[in-house]
Amino acid sequence: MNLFTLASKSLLHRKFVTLMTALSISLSVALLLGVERLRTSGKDSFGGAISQVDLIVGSRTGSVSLLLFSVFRIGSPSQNLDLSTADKFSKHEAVNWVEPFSLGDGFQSFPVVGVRSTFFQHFKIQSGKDLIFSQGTIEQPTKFAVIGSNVAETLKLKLGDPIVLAHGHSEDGDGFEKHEAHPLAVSAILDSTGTPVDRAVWVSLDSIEQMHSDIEITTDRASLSQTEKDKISNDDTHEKENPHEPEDSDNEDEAHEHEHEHKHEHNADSADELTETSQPVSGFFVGLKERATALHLMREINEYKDEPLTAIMPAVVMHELWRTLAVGENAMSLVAAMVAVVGIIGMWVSLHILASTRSREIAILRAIGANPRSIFALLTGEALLICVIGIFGGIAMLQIGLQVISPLIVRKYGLTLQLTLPTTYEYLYLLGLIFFSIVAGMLPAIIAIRGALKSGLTTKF
Amino acid sequence: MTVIHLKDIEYSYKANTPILDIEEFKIEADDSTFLFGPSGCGKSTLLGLIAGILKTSKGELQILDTNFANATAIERDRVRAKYIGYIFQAFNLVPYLSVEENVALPAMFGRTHSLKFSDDSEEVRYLCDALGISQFMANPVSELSIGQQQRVAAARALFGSPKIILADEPTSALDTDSRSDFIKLLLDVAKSAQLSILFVSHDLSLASHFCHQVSLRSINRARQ
Ligand SMILES: Nc1ncnc2c1ncn2[C@@H]1O[C@H](COP(=O)(O)OP(=O)(O)O)[C@@H](O)[C@H]1O
Ligand SMILES: [Mg+2]
Repeated sequence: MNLFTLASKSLLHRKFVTLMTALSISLSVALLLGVERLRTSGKDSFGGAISQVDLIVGSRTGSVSLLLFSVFRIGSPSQNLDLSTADKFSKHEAVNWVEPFSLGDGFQSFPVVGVRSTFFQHFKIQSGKDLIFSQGTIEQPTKFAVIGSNVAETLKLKLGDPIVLAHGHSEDGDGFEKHEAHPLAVSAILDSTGTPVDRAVWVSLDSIEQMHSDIEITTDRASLSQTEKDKISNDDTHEKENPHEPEDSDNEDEAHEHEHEHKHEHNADSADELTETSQPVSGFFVGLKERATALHLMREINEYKDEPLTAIMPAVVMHELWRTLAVGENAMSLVAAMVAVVGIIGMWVSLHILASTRSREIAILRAIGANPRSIFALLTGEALLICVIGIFGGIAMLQIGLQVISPLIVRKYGLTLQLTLPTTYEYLYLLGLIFFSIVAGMLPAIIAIRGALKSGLTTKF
Repeated sequence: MTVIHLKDIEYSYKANTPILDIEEFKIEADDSTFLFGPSGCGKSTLLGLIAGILKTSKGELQILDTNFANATAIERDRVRAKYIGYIFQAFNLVPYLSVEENVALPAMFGRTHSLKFSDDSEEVRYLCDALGISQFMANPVSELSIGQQQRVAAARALFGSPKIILADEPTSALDTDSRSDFIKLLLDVAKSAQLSILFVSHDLSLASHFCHQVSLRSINRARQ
């Protein structure tokens, strides 16, 4: 037998106290690491949501809100801009590509994004990873529906399944109106990415345009009474300018005519553009030929005279966003640290009580020949064992906890938490905890040994 | 040969209240000594000094080859671990270990089985047999009666053939019949192992079992 088995047997003898002490340590470890994990992995998943997009451009709005609606589809654009503006910038000498997008529609509870088929080549995630079609492909660039992995999974959709878009989308899954006249079919399903991409339905800009023009023609905006207009804007959660009315597919050709005229009135500048590019979009992503020109072009877009525009560099705004969130983050870390302190104090108290009730045992071991050092090693060894059990318990708790909550986070935000092993930073936390537990085990050991040395073997019991 | 030799030893727990002041006290090898005196006269304190757990720097405290009066704590602990077996009045055993684990405990601190035996467990078995506790060897100590527990303590003190057994009123918690049985067993095994016993008690009726009888009061000049 050695000191280690002696310590383990002693702990087993005091199962309840050992278990409770270890449990309190487990809880603090789980909390401490959990906060840290949420923080770093949140940052990673957040940051991985967009890559190799140098600028995001929208109508004049706050930079954070532009980032949130364009990438995370949280909130919605207050104004649209015209597709012709995006195309104008695509011809800019510094620009490599431009990918316009249109938001505001929904499918079940998932956001629908109108894009061009080339979007999937240009938009990257997680420092340059391509969006990959796990099934299917885009055959018709003007008519497709690509769904994120989470959409496919949740709604059990297969290739070819019909997609009926709703104009505007609501949390309960029912859009306000369904565009039943334009059924689409699932043409491709994307690989799971752990980003908001998983939770979106991507259709062609043309499909979106077609749907919205259908709505617009049937009722002339001007013919609506003022009260009716108010009612619409109150009921409406989407910010598109287009009012929506029950569709009527009669007189489709005439309707298109009408729609284009209507648009042209609003965008006199784009009058010389091709009529087919005159369409409201929510914004566009920009890829540059040279990264270094991003700041320059950003300024140019922000000062664009023909239309009030906002351009942002996603990485910079992401960073800003994290800085604003840092306050809450620090508060969480503080709470976690306090839990750890409480855990250590709890351990200290129980170890202290344990040690002080063990003067008899110490006297026995001393009489047999144990020197103070062995007694010390035994008592601190026990503390260390409890701590190690607690730490492993805490890591297990955390992994189980993350398994439980990460699907919820995926469902809500499309962000995947990485269930990785602890990072260096977290190891430092754990080392600190082990260090404190050794100290916590040492103090009662010292007190008990000093008592034993003073009173010799005459310990009363 | 003298195994314990005290000369001009003084000891006090608190300053100015000396508990012990002994001019001379000796124990020879292969000898059994009965040290008696009323409760509180300093018997346990003397055993603590001889065991090297308490420390005095006055006088001479020769235990085997080491003078405990000027030896370090580490040296004293080592001598005790190797050569001294100690039996308390009660509660001798580590509660979370079995009987055999308790008996073999000295092996953990440097006193392994004696040369007569090929390994620790063989000696444990022999001692448990000799002391009549072999049927409990695997049991937890909490299942034993006080008398049986004291025998386990005796077996542990005898394990690894130490040179000195210090017994601090080991029979005071036992009934009269088992007292004599216990002492006879202890002395028997001790004799065959050729070691010295210093047996401390306030109960003079046990004195006849031992070769020598010493009254602590008569050798202690403190307070009296
Ligand atoms: N740890 C201690 N601290 C202070 N005084 C003690 C301590 N242990 C014993 N004493 C005192 O020393 C004296 C002798 O005690 P002890 O050696 O236990 O006597 P005995 O074993 O003969 O009954 C007693 O008066 C007791 O009160
Ligand atoms: Mg006593």
